[in-house]
Amino acid sequence: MAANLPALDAPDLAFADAARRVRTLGRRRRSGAREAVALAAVALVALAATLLDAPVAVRAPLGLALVLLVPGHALARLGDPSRRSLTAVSLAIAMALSLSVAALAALGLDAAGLSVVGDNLAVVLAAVTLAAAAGIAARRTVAGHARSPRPTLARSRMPALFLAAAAVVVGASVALSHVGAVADDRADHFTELWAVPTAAGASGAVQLGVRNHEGGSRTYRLTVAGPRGAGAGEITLADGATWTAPLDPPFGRGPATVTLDLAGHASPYRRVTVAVPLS
Amino acid sequence: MSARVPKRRAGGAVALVVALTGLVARIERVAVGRTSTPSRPPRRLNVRSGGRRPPDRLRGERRGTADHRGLTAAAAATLLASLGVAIMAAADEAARRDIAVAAPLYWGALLVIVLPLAVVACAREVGPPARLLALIALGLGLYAVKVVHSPDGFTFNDELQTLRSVRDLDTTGRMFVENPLVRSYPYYPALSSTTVGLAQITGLPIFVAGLCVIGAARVVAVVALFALYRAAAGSDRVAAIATIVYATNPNFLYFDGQFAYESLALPLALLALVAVVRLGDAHRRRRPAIAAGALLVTAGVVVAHHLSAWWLAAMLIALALVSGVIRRVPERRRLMVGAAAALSTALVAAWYFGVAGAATRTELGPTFRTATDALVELARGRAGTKPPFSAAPGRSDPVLEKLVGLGSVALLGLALLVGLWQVVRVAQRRRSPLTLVLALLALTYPATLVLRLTQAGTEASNRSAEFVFVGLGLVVAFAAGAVGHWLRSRGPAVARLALPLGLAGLAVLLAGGITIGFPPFERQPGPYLVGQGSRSVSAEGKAAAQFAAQSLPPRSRIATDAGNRLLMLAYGGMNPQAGIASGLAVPDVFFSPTYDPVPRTVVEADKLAYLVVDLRLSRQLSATGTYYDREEPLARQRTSPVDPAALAKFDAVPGLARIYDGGNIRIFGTGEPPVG
Repeated sequence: MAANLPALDAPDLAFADAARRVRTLGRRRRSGAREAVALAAVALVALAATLLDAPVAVRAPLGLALVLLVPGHALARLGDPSRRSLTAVSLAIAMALSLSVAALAALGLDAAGLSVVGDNLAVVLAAVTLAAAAGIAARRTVAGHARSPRPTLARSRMPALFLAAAAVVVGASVALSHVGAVADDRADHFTELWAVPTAAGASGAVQLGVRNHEGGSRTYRLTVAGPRGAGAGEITLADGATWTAPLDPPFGRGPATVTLDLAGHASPYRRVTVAVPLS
Repeated sequence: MSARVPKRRAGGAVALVVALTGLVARIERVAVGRTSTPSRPPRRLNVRSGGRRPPDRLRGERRGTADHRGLTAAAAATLLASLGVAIMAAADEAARRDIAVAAPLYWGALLVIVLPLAVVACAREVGPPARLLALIALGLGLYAVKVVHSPDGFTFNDELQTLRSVRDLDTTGRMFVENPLVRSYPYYPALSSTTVGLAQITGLPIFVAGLCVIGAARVVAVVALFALYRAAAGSDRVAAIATIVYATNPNFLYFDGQFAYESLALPLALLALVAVVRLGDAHRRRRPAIAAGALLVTAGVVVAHHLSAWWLAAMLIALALVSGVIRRVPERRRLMVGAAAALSTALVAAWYFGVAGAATRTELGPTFRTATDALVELARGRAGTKPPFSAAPGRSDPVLEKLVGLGSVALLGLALLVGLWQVVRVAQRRRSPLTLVLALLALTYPATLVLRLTQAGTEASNRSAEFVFVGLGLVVAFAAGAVGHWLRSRGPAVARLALPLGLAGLAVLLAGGITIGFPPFERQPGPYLVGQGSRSVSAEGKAAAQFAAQSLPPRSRIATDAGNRLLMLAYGGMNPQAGIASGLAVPDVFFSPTYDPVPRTVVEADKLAYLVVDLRLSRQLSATGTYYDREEPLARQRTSPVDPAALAKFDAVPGLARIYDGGNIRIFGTGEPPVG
């Protein structure tokens, strides 16, 4: 009896195997179609977000996917349908292909006489993704070899927690560094003074400007001296604030000198000369 | 209340120590190989089958458990490495405040980032996913070191020069707009176009978009290296060791993490090389897809960076030649590699001769020419050797750093000798042309050291490290494997030394690479320094550049010092001039004690509309020995700062107008038409 079992079981097993294969193939086809739809959806939503000028919080993740991942992943899946999960290797391949597609697409736009701007590039990248997605959906699924189950980060709670914690620590480190670097920049205290012609042929008018980087509100004394006389006034500026004013030529032809004084500093604190021919 | 605070702090410290101990324990469990003999059966096995599964399934479960533990260890090491990044951020903050602890913290942080991840990546009983996770974390962790160095904008020389081309593309929407400092940048527009595209599509600032692009490239680089070494060595573990050795090359930390074209192109080139190697082994159905992918990525490399594209073509040609020589290589594989080599060479040649040749020659020609001339002069005995580890006269690296740098070179030389013998054995056994080609590439390492004997050759040597180490990484990994095998054969007591010895060697290679590649003042942020790229970027300089962008005609021709030149180029939109004009050096405008006759001649001949004068150059010795550019008189020989009177002379010149005064930085209008 026991000896007959394999012979009896064999056709059943073969049938079961065939049925499983058919089911698996169907699942793979559906899976391929689902993935194609998902890729196309991401590309279209990212394109819409770009063209409609959606808020950065919406555009940023979609745009990162559209430029760095989605076109390459779609092309890689089109070329190798048996690769199903997003592993580190397939991620790297997708990113490399996406970066190459983006670079070549920009070159193509320029060669075609079109501007290399985000909107145009998004259209091309979305079109590449849609074409590849259509190819994935239409392509007859090739049976991939059976792969032994491997643990993935999605299924492993502890590694995922560790990685999330690491990302938080790195993010916080970068944020704190940024705060430190900005504070370091602000530690340099200085004031800018300038005098430049407003525009070519604009009746000789000069634009005067003062910008305060002293780390707090400051009151300056501005003096303009020309061949025929001088004028002075006080300006109070908050930290980071800018004052500009047109300087008409009341002081005659020839160079004028603009000086800026600040209490507690040598006089003049800043000085510029107006060299444009004042009429 | 006051008594509770110390208790809480102590509790927090204990919790931190316990947590760190837990992380280290998880890493150590993998490092010492306990996963191969788990102390208890896997839980899932007991629950589902009660131990009645067939042997192959059992092996699968055990491997799965080992993989799971490997992933957990890799993730734990990643968490530890992230603490290293936090320490690095603290070290950089200390450096900004000029606190002495900055340097020890810097080295400590690097070791915390690298060593735990290296332990997991190189452990015996770890699967490829865990190794790759650890390696990617290592690559990104070292990239984070560069990010926290300059977290609020690009500061490195090449970054600011690249930024000009990026901003030109961003504002005009056109490619190939002239870059006045590096003419070749617009002709290799891959980085500019992807960054501008990403910034405009996402709405992110260009700086953040650039960081994302280079971060993605870093992931590609690490995965491609691992895949390349895996194909060459036939071992995941050797591949992981080789990848880590590659990461110790002098340029991995900063140069190839900066926002510049090579940082994008080299990873793509590595992946293209992997694709061609895999093409020969792939199933017939998969070959067209792999070939198409390799072609696409190769085209991306060609429009991204000249040296990377040439290196890729050279590697493929070498691979084709070696495949032709080795008799047992299948004919099909020979044909495929030959076709790939021919195609990539054709693409490189077409781009060079059709588009970028003149600009590329302008950029690279002088570098190679001066390096060659300096070597010839040295060989003829007409010139002396450059003292090692000295960025400028009067500035020498600390003795300990010199020793570590020399130690790393000695270690690499020794490993090269041991590893080559192993490589030849493996290449013969595995019929692997790739292994031989990488070994041949590693053999060029001693030649790059010879280049360092001259100042001009040092730059060429620096720029070759990231390419040469692709071969050197594999050879050193084989050497490490041979040494480990020898230690294990001496008995358990000696075998226990393998891990600490390996980690010590890695620490020396890492520290030595950084010491050789970057002088101390360049590794961390800090107070303003004259003549040094990232340390010459100051708030005053940025403010002056922003003034220029807002108030001066775009692309005006200007002359200024090395630090302000980059800011005026990138943020100011100006066209800085350097080098020689009418037979006179442009820096003479600033060094000359009087305005007549030399400065006036240069200003008129070079049509300089504005002169940007930085008074700080008269108060500090240059960190690199130059103040303006290489053409300046007494370049790298000055022992005192610029004469203050020479910088003050412009105020007394009739016809020159001081149009901007920012304290240290002054801008003078010369009366020349703004746009030449």
